[in-house]
Amino acid sequence: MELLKKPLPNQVTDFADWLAAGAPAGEAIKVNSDVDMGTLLPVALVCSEVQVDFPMFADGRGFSIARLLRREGFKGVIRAVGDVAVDRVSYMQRVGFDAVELKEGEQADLLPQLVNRIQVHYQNSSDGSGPVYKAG
Amino acid sequence: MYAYSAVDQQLVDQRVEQFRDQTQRFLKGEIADDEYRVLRLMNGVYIQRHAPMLRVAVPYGQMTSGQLRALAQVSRTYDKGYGHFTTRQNIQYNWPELARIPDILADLAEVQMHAIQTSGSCIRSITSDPLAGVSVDEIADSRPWCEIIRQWSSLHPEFAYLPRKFKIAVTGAKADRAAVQVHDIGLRLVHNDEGELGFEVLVGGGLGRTPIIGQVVRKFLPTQHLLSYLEAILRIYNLHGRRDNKYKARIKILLKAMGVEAFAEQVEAEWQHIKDGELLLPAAEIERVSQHFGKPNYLPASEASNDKIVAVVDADYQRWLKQNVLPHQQPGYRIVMVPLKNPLTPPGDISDQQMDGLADLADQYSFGNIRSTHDQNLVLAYVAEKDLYTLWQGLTDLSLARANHGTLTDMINCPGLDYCSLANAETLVLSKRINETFDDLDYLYDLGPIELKISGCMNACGHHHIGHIGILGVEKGGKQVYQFTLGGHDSEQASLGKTLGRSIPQDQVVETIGTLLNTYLSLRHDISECFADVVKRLGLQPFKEAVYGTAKKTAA
Repeated sequence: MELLKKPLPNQVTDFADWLAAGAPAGEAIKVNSDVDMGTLLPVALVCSEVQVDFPMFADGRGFSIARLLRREGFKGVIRAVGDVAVDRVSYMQRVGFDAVELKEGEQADLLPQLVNRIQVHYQNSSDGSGPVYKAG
Repeated sequence: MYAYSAVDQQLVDQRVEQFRDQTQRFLKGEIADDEYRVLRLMNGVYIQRHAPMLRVAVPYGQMTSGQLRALAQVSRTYDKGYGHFTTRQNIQYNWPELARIPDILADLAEVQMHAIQTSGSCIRSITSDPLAGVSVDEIADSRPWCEIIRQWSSLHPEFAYLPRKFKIAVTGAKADRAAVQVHDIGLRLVHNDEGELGFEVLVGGGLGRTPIIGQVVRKFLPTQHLLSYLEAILRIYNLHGRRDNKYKARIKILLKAMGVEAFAEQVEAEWQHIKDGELLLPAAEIERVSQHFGKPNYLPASEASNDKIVAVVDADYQRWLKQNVLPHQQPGYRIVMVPLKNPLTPPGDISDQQMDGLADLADQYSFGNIRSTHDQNLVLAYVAEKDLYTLWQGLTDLSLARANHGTLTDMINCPGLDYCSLANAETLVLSKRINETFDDLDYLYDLGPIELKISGCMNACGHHHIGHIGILGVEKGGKQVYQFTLGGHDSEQASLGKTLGRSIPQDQVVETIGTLLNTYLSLRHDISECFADVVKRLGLQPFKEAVYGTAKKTAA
């Protein structure tokens, strides 16, 4: 499963610390779900990876964060970390996450079948598949 | 009536199998309670006081006769032989077994129905004007737009974990029969000065603990930009709505905190990024969906109407004709309201036999179409005048011809403490007593159109804030007492009721309603001045004096 294979970076810096250090290029950073997108988007493109934290599964801000990063043109890895369970990964993939770190106790072996359970979509998606009316 | 494409069908079928798998893993203990809770809610499954409750979507209130028969069959096979239509035009089953709910959803998928996003912190099923396409005051048919929004919002990957539930209503008529001003987003179809069709967009309305009337964030949105503008609103809300307190998590609170101008600016800025992108609606797609909502094969007016039938001398029929039958935009046709307000059952309830019988009548007399309304009634929207008398006889046989549409006993009621685990007080006992006390139809007609709405807790599923008379059940010191609000309105001039005074004990609620009604009758100019208008003109004082006057004198 491609989503689980992206190697973890050797070092991950919290967004605030990374900014304080002068926003060096090529690093992996971690953002909280309440990150200010106006601050993040102009500087994030130089990162190799952005980890988006899900403090609890019901907090859906990370979905919009990933979507906006991709729209801004971010080409690096976007990894979902924190309270990440297999049943939410298909949506994560569709908004632009290309790596997930499942929380403890999750059945990673179910992932391949779960992410493909629903194969048609009404929305455009960051992986390039369009809404159905675009296909037709 | 929208008919599924192969893609629509595949999505619903695969969603059923996804939920079946999730439910099986939950029952095996492989998904934790709190995780499964969120997954089941997005599939319409609540765990209620007695059993799971399943809420099935009736998107924007439209059903075919085949779908209504399937709903009847579900109630027989999996439940207790009845269903409950809600204030959001959906239908609920109160007694299904959790393990069998995936089977129910599979049965419903066969008739192009689902329970997707009828609950949970996501975009809920879309509500609309039940008279779309037939009303005399129509600007444009709202149904194609509702269907377009239904598809865009279904399984939207970015907006499945919002701060709180999110409700969208659309109206295409001058009168507001969809309560668009008390929804998270309300859309009104309007024409601009150039005669182009678009939407007036309201945001931040809602009832519940903090009732607020929605505010206009955009006066005119061209129709092709509908989805991108909705997406911009949802994105701002998803990122900035409060998540620390569920009672402050609705978009109305965000709008209040930011101010409507600042909110509109942020939406506008986000919208500029996406307005001409993938969400720009192609004319061909608008046309494709609109074609599903064309006019039925109407008879010419000369064949559809029959003056003799309209003039049948039968007092009961004449009452029904006057009260439950509305004018239609097609000459020779009428709209027939079918109240689900049987005095012996909770408002909105309908038995399997009634559903089957009504489906047959719809096939015979209304092009097989049935609609549900936000005041928990059903509608046959395409009845030729020549068929009215025969239809009335058929409805009478089904106990669905009670001529109380729009009267006091056509009240809205949540299920209350008898069914709901959130409720603080009973509501059904009140509706039963109200029905028993105010059973004289002539008295009800003399009162004129009056909206009585009752909720069993602050979540306000009974919409009490927008009733002419609103009643909220609360628990105080172990006793169920009821707070009255007066002067609410759910029409195009929506307003929220004001609190009358201290709470009323359960055994005095009906008497208090009687006092309020008598006060209203003595104060109104004539029947054209409704209860809410009198409250607007004279304030609460005369009503307070009538209800609490005696007690005040004793105290003094």
